[in-house]
Amino acid sequence: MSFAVFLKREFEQRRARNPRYSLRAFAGALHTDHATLSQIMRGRRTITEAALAQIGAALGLAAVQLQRARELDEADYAVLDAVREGIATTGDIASNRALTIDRVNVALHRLLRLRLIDMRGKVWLSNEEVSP
Amino acid sequence: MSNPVVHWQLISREPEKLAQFYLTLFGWKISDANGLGYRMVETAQSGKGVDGGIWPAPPGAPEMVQLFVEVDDIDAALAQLTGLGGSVVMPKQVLPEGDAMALATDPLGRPFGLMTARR
Repeated sequence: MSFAVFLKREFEQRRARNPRYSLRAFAGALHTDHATLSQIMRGRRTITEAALAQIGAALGLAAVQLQRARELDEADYAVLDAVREGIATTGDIASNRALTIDRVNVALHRLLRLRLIDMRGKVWLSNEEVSP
Repeated sequence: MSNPVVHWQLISREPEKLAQFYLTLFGWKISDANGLGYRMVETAQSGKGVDGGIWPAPPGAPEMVQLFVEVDDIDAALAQLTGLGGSVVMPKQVLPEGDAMALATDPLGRPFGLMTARR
């Protein structure tokens, strides 16, 4: 299901850049058909490892990016987006995204493990802001 | 350097329920009044024992206990454990109160933590 969340976000980002971008076009870019893609995105079809690899390759995802796409769910992305917006404390993220502190901490731990965020004392930073 | 175990952590899918269980059973002091909302568990109120904490687990994850070992240099310890067959799960993070921690697994996949105290 988590990969479906990733695909939905990817599709929404493409539509934000081009409102006429269709699911059929997205399916074509992923070398699949739109009916299959629609079912995957709605969580009504389990994606096979082979299809996952194919879509990952079509999107140009490195292995580490594909792993992130497989693991993150909607709450994780909400927390990641909050950190990227500069909301830097656990309590502020929880209240801003209407999540419990525990759910935020689950997400933060996952994002830390996937190297998408880092912690500097009292604040969370998205990885783009973290010095190599 | 003795590298003592200085902290333990219960990873639970139901952290609040677990906190209430141990609070009732042992009377440990449990507080989440810190920057992470982390449930700190004080067992060493009489000067004996090791304090710990409770951290939420993602759905489907196993219930487990992690031990945290204090080291002089987390980065050096992570490099050494990798050479010994362990793996780094999470690199060093500096916590709100100034302590630093990292997570790793031993060669059999058992997770544990490394800590350095605030200096």
